This record gives sequence, structure tokens and C-alpha cells, in this order.
Amino acid sequence: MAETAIAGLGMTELGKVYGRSPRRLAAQAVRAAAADAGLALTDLDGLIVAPGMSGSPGIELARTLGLRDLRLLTSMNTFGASAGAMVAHAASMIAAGSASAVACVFADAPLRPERSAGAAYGRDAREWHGLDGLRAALGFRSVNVYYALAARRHMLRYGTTSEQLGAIAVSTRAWAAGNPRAQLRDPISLRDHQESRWVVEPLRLLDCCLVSNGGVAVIVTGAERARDLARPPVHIWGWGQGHPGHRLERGSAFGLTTGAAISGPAAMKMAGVTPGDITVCQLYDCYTYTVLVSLEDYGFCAKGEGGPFAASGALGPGGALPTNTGGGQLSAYYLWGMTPLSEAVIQARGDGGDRQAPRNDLILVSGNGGILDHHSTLIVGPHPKGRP
Amino acid sequence: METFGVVRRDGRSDPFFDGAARDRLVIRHCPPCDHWYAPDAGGCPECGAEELEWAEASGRAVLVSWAVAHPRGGEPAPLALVELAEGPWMYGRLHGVTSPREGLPLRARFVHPDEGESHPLFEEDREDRGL
Repeated sequence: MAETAIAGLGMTELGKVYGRSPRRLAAQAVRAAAADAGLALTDLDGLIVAPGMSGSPGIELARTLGLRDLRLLTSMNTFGASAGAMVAHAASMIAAGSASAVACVFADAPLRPERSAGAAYGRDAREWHGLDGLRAALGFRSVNVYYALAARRHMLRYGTTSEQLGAIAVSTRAWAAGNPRAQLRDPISLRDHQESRWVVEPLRLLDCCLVSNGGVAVIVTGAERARDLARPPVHIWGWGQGHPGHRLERGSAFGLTTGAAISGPAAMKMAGVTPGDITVCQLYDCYTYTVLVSLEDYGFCAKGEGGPFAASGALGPGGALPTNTGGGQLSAYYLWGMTPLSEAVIQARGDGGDRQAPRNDLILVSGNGGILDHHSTLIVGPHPKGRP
Repeated sequence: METFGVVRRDGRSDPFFDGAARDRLVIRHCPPCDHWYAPDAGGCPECGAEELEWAEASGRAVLVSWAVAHPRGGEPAPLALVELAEGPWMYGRLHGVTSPREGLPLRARFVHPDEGESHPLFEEDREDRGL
């Protein structure tokens, strides 16, 4: 199969960016990504969009950008797993000869001035309707509750502690200090984590990701073509998806394992690598817990050992497995799967500046959507596939 | 005093609320394969049946996982995933459970608010059923 690469990365301002619609942010990100690659918009023959909370952007983005005669145009949505799924689809289409330069973009603008970040994803009403409404009336007002139930289950089964989750918050913030784009850069201690307020017990404020407005796009091309473009190619070694379909009934593995257990081995098999070959991880960190359980499912430690592994210092600057080197969604910016993907591109290019990981040969990127319902994996690096 | 939002019917789950009004937990059941599901299930993934019946469950459950929501400016809400005796898991709210643990025996009790629909909560089942 023809090899592919990420040739361009475009990022808008991220965070409290007001006054721009998701579509406008998406258009800005695609223009920036094309320019980064040294391509004109007219060089693009494919566009894949992933919608955010508002359902925008959709495929109307092609018209907004004035793209003509596209050979590939689609919207893809597996929530937080969309970024990896978009890149895999673009790479597949390019390898099949059905497209040659494909932009993949996500943008969202859930934050509004004078409204709390929590309100952006929360629900409130005076009256509720039906079973879904009953759940909300009882107190299930945000996705935080479901992840808290998942995290608690992991704690009950494997003895995982709040302090071990805190170690992930601390190491992620330590990386964020080196990222000028990060929304939160001041270092935190484990004590800061332990003293941060409960959002939904057992998750504290510093276990939960940010809410951000912005857009990020990448351009995928054939690896040969990428070599002649403006920036060093970020070669795509492998990809996978996993949608476990946990049924909530007796015997369910909800909270204990994720789709990474399917997605990870598939991506590593395609790449011809094992967990021991991966030198950097960019893991979807909507919560500290998500990082912990993903590390286990990818095989970086044994099942149930994610807590001690995180607490060992392996994930932070100077650690054995630099993870979320830009500060992730916890400290840098929350652009769904584009947060880990964008940082992977930056690290693979060696553009990490103060936060550049010492060995960037093989970078694993994860995406997680729904309540651990959807997972995607990409394995990328600066070297052509098969030559680490 | 616990406070809950007001719940109205939506025409798709009336048997559940009818049951709650009579202090009965009514959930979904697939007659062909005798598999039980949570009240919001839409079909049977076991045998492919598109229609599930509404059926009375025992109301007994065990605690699978719990979480306490701390809304800003509101009272903490003890929320849970429970495993009903019939097998399905259900999202619910705990009442008066002071020492939660995995496997804690629970039973549904029902709230009949002045306004809006009746609904279940889960409380510790202290009755010795001689199991």
C-alpha cells in the first residue's frame, strides 16, 4: 500500500476565542494547514470534517472555502475518536488513488463570554421529560458523572487512587509549562490536585479537561509528495479503531477496559511495532482517568497497573514515556482528538521547543469518544515506515 | 431534604412512570430470549427482536459503582450504576446509603413528588433474604 504522511498543520487561536463560528474557525484552520504544507487551497482534492458540539462544521465548509472539483468530501463523527478516524480515512483514500491531498478539520466553539466552562457541556432545566430527563433530574447533568462512575469502578477493581490520577494532572501540567499555546501553564503539585474541589467524586477539578474554542486541521498526502512540500513529513505508520459496544449488564467491562484494547493492537500490527517501540504518547485526556486506563489497554503496563505506572513519574518531563507533551486537554486546549494529534505532529517535526521529547521516533496518538464507547489510534513519526 | 427536577412524561416510557406511581420498578424484557434490559433499551441485541415488553422487576439490585455530583450552589447528589437482580444495569440515585461498597444490596424505593412523575431511588436493602 502506498505510504502516506501528514504534510501540514493549521491551528487557530485556542481557548477563549469569541466571536467566530465553528465554520469560520474550521475554514481558518484549513487555510493555515494548507499554507503550512506549502499548498494552495486549489491543490486540495479532499476535505473531511468532524463536527463539534453544535453540529458544525459540516460539508458546507467546502463551499465556504471555495473548494472546487473535490474527489472526496465527507463528515465523520465518532466523537473524540474522529480525528484519528479522519486521518485513517484520508490515508486509505490516498493509498487507493482516490485522492491526493486531503484536509481533515475539527472546530468547535462551546465557550461563550459570561458563561462558565462547566455550563458549556452541562444541562439545566426546570422540567425534564421521559427517561433521559429523569436521569438529568436525578443529577446526571453532564458527562462528568459517567466518567466518574467509570473511574470509581477502576478504583474498586484495581485499587487505583485519587493520588495516582493526580500524578497525571501534575505531569501533564509540567509539560504545559513549555507550550506557549497552553491555556494553563503554572505548575501544580499533587497537593494542589488533592485540594481542588470535587466536580463529581471521585473526579476533582484538576482531573477534568478544559473547555476551549478553536479549530485545528491537518493535510494528509502521499509520503512521496510530502517529501517535496514545505515541512518535514510526519509519516503515518498505522491506524486502528475500536468500538467495544459495552452492554451495561451483569459482567460488563465498563470502566475497566476501553476500545484501545482493540484499536491499539490493530494500529501496532499495521505499523509493525510493539508498545516497547513507542517513544512518545499523545493520549486523549478528557480526564486523568482516561489516560490511566488507555495506558493499560495499549499495553504500556499491565491491566490494573496504570495507577502505579502514572505515579512512577514515567509520563512527565524526563520520564521513560513522555505523554501529553503539550499539556493535553487537561492543561493546554480541548479540541477533541485534534489535541493529541496536533501535538504529535509538532513533536514528530521536532518543533516542541522547551517541551520537545528527546526521542520522537514513534508517537502513539489516541482518540476517545462517548463514554469510552469509541476509540481510535494513530502511530506516526518523522521517519518513513519501517525505518525507525 | 433532597430536591429533584420536575419530570414529565414523553409518551415513550409511560409504563415505567405508571409502575413508579404504584411503587413498582418496570423495566424492559424480551419474551423470546428471556433477557432483561434497562428501561431505556430500544430492542434486543441478543435475538434481534425489535419490540421489548414492559415488565415488572423485583426492584432488588446491587451497587456496581457510585459517584457524588457536586453542583456549584447545589446539594451533592449521590449517583450510581446498579445491577438489577434480573441482570441489566441502571443509572440511578442513592438514598441514605452511608457506606457504599461494590456489591452492596439495594432495593428500589419510590418518590411521589407533588409535581411531576413518581420515580425510583435506590436504598440499602437490609432485609435478610436468606440467599
